[in-house]
Amino acid sequence: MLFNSYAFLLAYLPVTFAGFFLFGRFGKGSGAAWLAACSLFFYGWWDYHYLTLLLASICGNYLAGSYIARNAGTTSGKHVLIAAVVVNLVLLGYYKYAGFFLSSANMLLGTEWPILNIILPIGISFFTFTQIAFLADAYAGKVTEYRLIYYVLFVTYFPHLVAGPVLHHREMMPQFDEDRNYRPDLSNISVGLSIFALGLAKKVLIADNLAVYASPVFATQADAPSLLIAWGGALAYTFQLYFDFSGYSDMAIGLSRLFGVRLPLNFNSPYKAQNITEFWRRWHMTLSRFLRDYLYIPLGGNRHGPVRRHANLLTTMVLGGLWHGAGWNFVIWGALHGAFLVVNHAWSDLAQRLPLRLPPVAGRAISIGLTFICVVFAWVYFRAPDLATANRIILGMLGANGVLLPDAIASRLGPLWTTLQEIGVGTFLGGGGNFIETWAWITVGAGIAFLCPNTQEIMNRFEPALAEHGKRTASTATTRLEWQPHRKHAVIVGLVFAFGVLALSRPTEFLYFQF
Amino acid sequence: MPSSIWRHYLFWMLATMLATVGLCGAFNAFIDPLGIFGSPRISGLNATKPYLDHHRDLTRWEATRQLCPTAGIFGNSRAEIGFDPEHPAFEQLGLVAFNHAIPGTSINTALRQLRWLQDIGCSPKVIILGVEFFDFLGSPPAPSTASPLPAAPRIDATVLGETVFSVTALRDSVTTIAIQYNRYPATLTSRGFNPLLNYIPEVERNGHYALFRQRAIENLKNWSKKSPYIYPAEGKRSVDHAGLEAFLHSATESRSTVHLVIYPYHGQLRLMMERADLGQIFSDWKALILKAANQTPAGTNAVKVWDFSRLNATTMEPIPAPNDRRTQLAHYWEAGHFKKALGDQLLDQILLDHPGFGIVLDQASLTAYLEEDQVQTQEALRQPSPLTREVDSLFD
Repeated sequence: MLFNSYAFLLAYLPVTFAGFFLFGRFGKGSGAAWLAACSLFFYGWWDYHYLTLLLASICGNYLAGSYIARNAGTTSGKHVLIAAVVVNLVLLGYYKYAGFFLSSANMLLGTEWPILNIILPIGISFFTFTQIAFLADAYAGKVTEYRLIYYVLFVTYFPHLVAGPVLHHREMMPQFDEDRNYRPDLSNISVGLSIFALGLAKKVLIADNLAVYASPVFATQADAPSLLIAWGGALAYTFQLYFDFSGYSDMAIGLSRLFGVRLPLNFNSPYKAQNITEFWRRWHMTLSRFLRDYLYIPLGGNRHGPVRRHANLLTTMVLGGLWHGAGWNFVIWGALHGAFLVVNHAWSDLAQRLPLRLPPVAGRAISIGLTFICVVFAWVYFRAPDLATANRIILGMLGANGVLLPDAIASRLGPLWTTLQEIGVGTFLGGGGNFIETWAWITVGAGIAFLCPNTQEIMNRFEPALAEHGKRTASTATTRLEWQPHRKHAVIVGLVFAFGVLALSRPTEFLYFQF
Repeated sequence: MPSSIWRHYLFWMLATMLATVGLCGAFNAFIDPLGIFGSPRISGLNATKPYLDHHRDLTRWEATRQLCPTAGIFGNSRAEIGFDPEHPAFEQLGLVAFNHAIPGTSINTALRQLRWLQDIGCSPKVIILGVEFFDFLGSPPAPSTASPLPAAPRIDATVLGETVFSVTALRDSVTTIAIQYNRYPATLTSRGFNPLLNYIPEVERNGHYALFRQRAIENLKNWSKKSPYIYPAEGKRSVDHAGLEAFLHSATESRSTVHLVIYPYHGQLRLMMERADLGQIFSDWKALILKAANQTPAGTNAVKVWDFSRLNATTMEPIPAPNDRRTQLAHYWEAGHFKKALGDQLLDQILLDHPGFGIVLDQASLTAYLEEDQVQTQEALRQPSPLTREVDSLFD
């Protein structure tokens, strides 16, 4: 079931919401059980066959986690931890990577092993990682809450189940045990609905419109794109992905807030990042946190010198890439980001020793621009269906296929066109309207992503999401646009909500559902 | 904060949301861009309907249901743009015509439209069916059992959501109001005809040459993706072939007279086909069409096959030069799409027996006719001319 569908908004959500507070009157366990049951229904709506897998995974991990927690730090606890993590990874590997490994082996070894057509259970990457983190924390002695119903709810909780945020049990369990969350609270409902409305608008009014202009460029059958077409496709996807995924995260945060539960922040205007390290502190923040805490640091982090640190960064990012999908494109995407991080660290070390300093504004603009360009290039591998398509677009972005303008636009440029022709700009027939619409939508996307405060900044006064280490996500620069429960803001949010609802007639899936 | 502040906020937010959705819905239903709700057509507000590329089946079906036409034009965009159902010939024959043609659709769409009409007792007496060679080219084999036809479209909750309570509907409503004051609106008449008026300024801006050239490049790209056959295997029929036979069977069973029209492709398209080694397949396809017509129970008494594709002065109308933005061609928008002026000539010949360049195919003279046609096309391709140079340049 999609958040951006009538079925969800008009039936599922009202019933779940009303039932939660009704059952909550009979005790927290009843309310939590209702919410968990509704979450399983939410999952089963997509494909009930995989409910068994999800429930088996929950039961197995709960039993293992309970044992590990009782034997935290001991050898037997460690053995069970290793076994449980291996089982989780084997399960994930089977569903997500078996086809990839077989096809890669066939390609490299010339074998003809049959490719398994396994359907990827939705959300498996998310619920597997969530539970691995639980197991690791249990071994580290950080697990204090063992009640099964809370654990089931923690894993299946519908706002995060299929596409995150990736949750930590220690930030969720106390909230599930909070008495006041089982009573309806008008402030939570107001804040939650407002965040949900903003997220819905990001998804259905911006991301879905950008998709129309990205998809044709990334089609396997598409022609080799010229420079502006290639950049148009890549940028359209860059903003589509951001508004789609951050819109989804906002909707998840808003929905959860209806039940009084704050989810961790997942996006913080990532394209405003001044370097790639900062980008990963702003993009899919809960995954970055997971990769850092459960992969990069256990690998040694930065504790064994720069060479080992760089190797750890590369390994973490390549595995992070593979987490997104089974394919060489994701490996390359992860490797590119690993390389960007290595270069960024090396540059940071070097820059400290350089006597030259750029004016702050120029330095900031160049840093943001450079980081953004690197991210856009990497997204091409992330989005393209295969390597050949990705390489074709990259070549186009580098100008290998020339610079062409639609004939209809060129003919209107007057004397400027003569100058452009002299520097080698050519024309192509047709597609003028599409060209203009592509760049118009990119301008809209860029304007919002770079110049506007994000949802958390707008809602800052009411602590919309959990930030790491209990920090608020405040940004003092956005006070002018800060949301308040006033009539003016109610009307604005109501309008945004209305147009979001009016765009629901043909719901599209969220991009991160495929991971 | 006191709960009254939050209650006040929620009231205003939800009220704004519901009022906006409700007002948008009412506005869209009143403007009725698709013309499916029977809202009054008010001059200067919503009398002219925009040409919309969604709910195409439903739009035409709702108009048809109310009209119950006695003549029907079926086919793809060529028929939609070329054949005006308000051509006087229909009235002279006492017929009320509707243009059911939908761009990019094949014979199977026409088949289901015909069946829906038959189901409500509105079988057309006369049918003009445009048949498309490029649909048959590389068409996959027909399944052994025909799949059931989908039910006629109806206005259900989903359609209401899409056509009333949606941003798309709001955009369509605004477009509807805007085109009332547009000299050349993109529109669909109440009889399903697309006059393509919006191409007039397009030609003024870019010239006919750009349209011919762009479509020619697209055509070559599309053809290269198709397998060069019209019979998927020995003794096998393709999906389109089976669809045509089913259409003719249904039509003749309900005593309709069917005019199968092989479209008047512009000479550029014919020469391109010849250059792409599709000339022989095109001839074989014409034979296939005639054979399908002859195999209906009523045979050629009820089904006539008209070939308008031969090269002649009309179909060889010169393409204006690349920088010529003044010349408006008399008969063609580009090589694949003919104007109403040419469509009118075709209808005059088909319905009123006026003289014209169309040939009624018959089995006895078919072989000689097809040979002659192919020789003529090959000869034209050999003759140096601006057209052959243009065709050559497309293959360079």
